[in-house]
Amino acid sequence: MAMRVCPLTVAIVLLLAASSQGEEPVPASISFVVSAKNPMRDVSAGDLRRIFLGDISRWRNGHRVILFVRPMDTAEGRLFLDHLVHMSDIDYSQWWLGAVFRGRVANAPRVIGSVEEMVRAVAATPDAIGFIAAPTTPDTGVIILTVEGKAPADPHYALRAR
Amino acid sequence: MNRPFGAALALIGVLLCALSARADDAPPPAVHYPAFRLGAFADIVLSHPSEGGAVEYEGGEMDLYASAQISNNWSAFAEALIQHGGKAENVDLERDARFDTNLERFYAAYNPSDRLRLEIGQIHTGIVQWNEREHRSRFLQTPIDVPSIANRESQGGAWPLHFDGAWASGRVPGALGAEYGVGVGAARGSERDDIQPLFRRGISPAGLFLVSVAPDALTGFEAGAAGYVGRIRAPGQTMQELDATVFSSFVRGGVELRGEFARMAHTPLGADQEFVTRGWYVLASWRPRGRLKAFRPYFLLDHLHVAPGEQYLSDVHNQNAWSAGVRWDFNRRLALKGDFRTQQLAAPHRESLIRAEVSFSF
Repeated sequence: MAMRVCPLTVAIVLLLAASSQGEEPVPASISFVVSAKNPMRDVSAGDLRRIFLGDISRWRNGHRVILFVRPMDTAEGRLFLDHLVHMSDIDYSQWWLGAVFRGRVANAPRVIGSVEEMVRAVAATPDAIGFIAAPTTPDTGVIILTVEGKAPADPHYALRAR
Repeated sequence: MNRPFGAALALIGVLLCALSARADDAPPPAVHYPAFRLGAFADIVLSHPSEGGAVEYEGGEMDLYASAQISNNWSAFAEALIQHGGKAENVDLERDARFDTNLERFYAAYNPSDRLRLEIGQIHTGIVQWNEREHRSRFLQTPIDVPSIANRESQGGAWPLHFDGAWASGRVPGALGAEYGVGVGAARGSERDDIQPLFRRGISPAGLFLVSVAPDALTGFEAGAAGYVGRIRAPGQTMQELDATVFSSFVRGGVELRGEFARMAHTPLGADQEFVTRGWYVLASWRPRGRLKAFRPYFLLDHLHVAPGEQYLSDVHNQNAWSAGVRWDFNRRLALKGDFRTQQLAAPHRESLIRAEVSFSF
């Protein structure tokens, strides 16, 4: 008995199959770091998202938040996209293009090429915030933030790969 | 509303501001002022009637913008839109227009905290959320078309998208993600596309508000409402304008759902008559993960019903259209879009088009 196959069904199946490919393993979680001179020690996941979308642009002292991000094709970059901003790298890039165009922010986040460079940059910039793959433990000059009271090693940490 | 010289002067003004500004308050470390940025979006649209005929150049736009962060709290912004009307009949473009240059936005902003941002100058009203979010960049929006309710006044749009005045906005701290906006300025003029300068004699005032929430508990969801009240001194009559808009969106993990409903009521003073124009759109799109992440299929429903017999909106067309297509982000700066669109120019005539758009930013 010949079975009829709807072309639309075939297209959807192929689309879903292709969508599930190309994923690489991501770290267990990411740690958000600020300078040791920054008084912030804990942040909510909602505010963290707003900070990295530019909706929160100021620290409590009125200084502008300076954003450092890892390249979005790194493992921690993908975890950041999937678990915090919930966007693809293309959409995140266009989000910032739009934010500048809306006149709300002056610049998009600065991309930092390595973990060591990220730690150095954050330590040297009191108004900066960045992220690194956990369980990296930086030496000095930066503080790892807790998110909603939980450290990156906590199984209930909000930005943990599941 | 064609103000090419104003647009050029605005851009030059921001440039001079940026070059000559002195920081009036101590900037935080690692931030250097003034910070200046110049950018542009551009696109070209080609269309082909589905019933046959030649491929036609439908039109193109170039949107130039400049921003200057003058100090920790002060900034300036200017945007000018250059449009070229093509050969095809399309309700989005004035048919007699060739090149049209317009000043879109030109303002100074004081932004001491996330709770308060004050803009003064020519700004977008925010009465239509699409316009507030995308402004005039067709590169940033998913589909080719701007929905009818967000059409620019000079492109057959009905809603007052621009005004000269002041706009205060900010974010209310908390898990609700509440934002507000309040504005006062000059109402639109005797012509639908006349943006009245703030200091012209005899202008009538306009007021605006906007509220929205984006709760932490529902990441990616946003809902809000906006209102506009003004008085139009049209030839032969003065009308009260009262506009209201509600909007909602859910954007998360590649899914984009947006909807907006807008109502505009014009009431001639001293008359019982009320002209009510309504419009809405729904946009759904999805970006897959993995190898196909550069593609975003979309579907747009677009509807506009203009109040019958209203002279002030006599050159605004009803619209009842849908389009289905795909956006392909070739790279971060170049997007190709293709869609099938069916639209109603004047009942009962409908036309269907297959179109392609090349858009880019630089």
